Amino acid sequence: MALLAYDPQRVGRLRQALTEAADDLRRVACADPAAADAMRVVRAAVAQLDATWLPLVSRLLASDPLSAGQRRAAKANSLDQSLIRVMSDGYGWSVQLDPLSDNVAVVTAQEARALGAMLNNVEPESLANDPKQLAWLAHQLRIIGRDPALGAEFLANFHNWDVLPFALARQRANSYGNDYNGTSLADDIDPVIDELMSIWRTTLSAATLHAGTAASITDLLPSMRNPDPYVQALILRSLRLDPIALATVTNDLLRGWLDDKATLGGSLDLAVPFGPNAADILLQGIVDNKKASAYLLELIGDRPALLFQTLDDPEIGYRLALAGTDPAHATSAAAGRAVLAILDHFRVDPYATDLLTDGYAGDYGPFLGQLVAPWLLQFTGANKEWTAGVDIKVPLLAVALKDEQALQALVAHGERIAEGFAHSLATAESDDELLAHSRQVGGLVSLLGQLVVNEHVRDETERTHFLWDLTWTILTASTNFVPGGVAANVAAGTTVKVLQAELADYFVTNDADGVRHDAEFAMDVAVTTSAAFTLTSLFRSWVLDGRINEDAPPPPPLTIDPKKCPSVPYRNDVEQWAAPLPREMRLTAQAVVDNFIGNGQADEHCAELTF
Amino acid sequence: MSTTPAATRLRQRATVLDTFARRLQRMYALDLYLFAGPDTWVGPSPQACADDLRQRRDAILQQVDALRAESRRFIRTADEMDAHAAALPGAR
Repeated sequence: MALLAYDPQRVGRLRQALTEAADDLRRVACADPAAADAMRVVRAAVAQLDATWLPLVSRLLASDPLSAGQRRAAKANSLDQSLIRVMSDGYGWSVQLDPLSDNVAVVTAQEARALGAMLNNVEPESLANDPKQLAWLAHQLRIIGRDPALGAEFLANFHNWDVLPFALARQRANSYGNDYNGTSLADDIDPVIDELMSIWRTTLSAATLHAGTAASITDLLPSMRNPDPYVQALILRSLRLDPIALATVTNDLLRGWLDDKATLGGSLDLAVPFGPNAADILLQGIVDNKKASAYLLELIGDRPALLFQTLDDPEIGYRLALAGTDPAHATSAAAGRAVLAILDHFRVDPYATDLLTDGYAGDYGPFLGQLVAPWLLQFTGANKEWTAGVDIKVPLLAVALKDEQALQALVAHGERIAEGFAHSLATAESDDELLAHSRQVGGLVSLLGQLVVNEHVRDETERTHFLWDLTWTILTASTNFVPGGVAANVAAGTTVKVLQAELADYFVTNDADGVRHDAEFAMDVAVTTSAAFTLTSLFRSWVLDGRINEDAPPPPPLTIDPKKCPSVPYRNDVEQWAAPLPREMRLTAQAVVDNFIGNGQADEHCAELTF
Repeated sequence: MSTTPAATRLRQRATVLDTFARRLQRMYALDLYLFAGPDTWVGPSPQACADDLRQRRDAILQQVDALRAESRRFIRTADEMDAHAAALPGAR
């Protein structure tokens, strides 16, 4: 049952006023029909005073107030009786049981003030472990938060920012433990923090709330003594900042967090080593926004440990890095800085070397494969979008594709490779542009063949399969930039499929003698196939432009003899085919082939092969 | 100008309504809510009481306005009736 508190003298005056008012109402009368409505209102008022309010007040004055013991028994100390307790303890008012129950949908200014005052003195651990009280409190705070005037009443009386959020946060963190024996969970606690901050939010100016890149933790949060980053993370999240502002303060907070981690270690995050930590809480609010993810990666710069050595759930960091380096939202230069810095971070497995780092040793290969997928061309020497030289880029690509999981991810995310190609390679409008593009694609096929497959796939059969898959993924992506517009693009795609079908036997079927599965052979086939595809595209553009007769012999087909290295004979065939062409076209055709496999390279490959 | 009996009755009724409105406006009940606020008591019933007293005050004041509007309408109608009678042939 609810309680009511009252000043007996004032209630006495209220009874007197009610009595006089009822008598006064009874005396008025008007017989004019036009006054009938007014008389009905008067009679209803008399009835209400006589039947309800006078008896209530009279009974109140005739009854003894509750004793201290009775008040305790009636739970006058609970949070939902804050106002009663404040008036009885603070002002000496009497307390009795109230025949009506409280309407929790309404919060008065007095109740808002009393609730704020009560939360200063409440036993924080008990409250944090009481789901019922937490639910009631969240509801009341939500109502208060909707009305700035009520919010101001509440905040004028609530000063417990050092203690209450801390207690709620600690209960929340503990609730993720295996041996947790409390009753409230994050779902019980989060609404209270959310609603508390929704009230605090009303005190912040729009300029502070929407400061974007100038957002500041100090400006946004109430003053707190030595707050733990976990507490700050929870209340920052509850402020519902825009993602850019959240990214700004997250960078600030995690920098301090990581610095502290070196010295404080396990005492961070309220000394709770399990469950989502400060980084998980904050980064989760950014990861779904690609623009904010890209912005945060720029802020993080050359310190990717902020992502990968803070999170309890490394997947959040992976998702954020992928979103932030998506070509649709990140510039090539910015993505390059981020990608290279991240790869450098993973040069030595951070999860294996830092015992204080969350995450799982060696489990990040698929992430790195996806990370580099849209930016493969930028790793080649022919691509100058990134300022880093090949001496830096190539070893870092090797870091990205250090295991088979990474390669599988790269192959499985061919669409990311295609997106990257579309972003970097406009459709070639001239032979020179096609040559420039083929230098990059040729360099990439060669790079992947040499660097990745040969070095990192131990199983010979698997190596050829990976190279096979990668080659076709790259060639399919390359159809974006063949000259001649959409029709040529479709035709090029068809060419790739035909070539793929023709060559499938050499790669995907089991080979008893193992010769065809030799990785060197596979690589030679891959680069030669790529060259043949690009040369065919070039020839088609010449025909479309009328620079060469439709009946002119097309470039030589790629024929593969499993006992022979294909690049050298193919180069010879191309040389013969191009001989009758005009000089400029002949040189272009040979340059295309050279971009994929130069003369020296072909000899080198074939010399290494033993049939 | 002379006045018709009907117009006279309407003016009398208007006077009654105005008097009644003034009476309602002076009733103690209109100030009751001042005694029933959070300076006196707090809790679900006190809140309900204060809310009820405020609502009844508002309802009574609405009736005051309605009575005055009706009174003005009566006078306007009486004036129209007199003007109409004066315009008739043979009117003095």
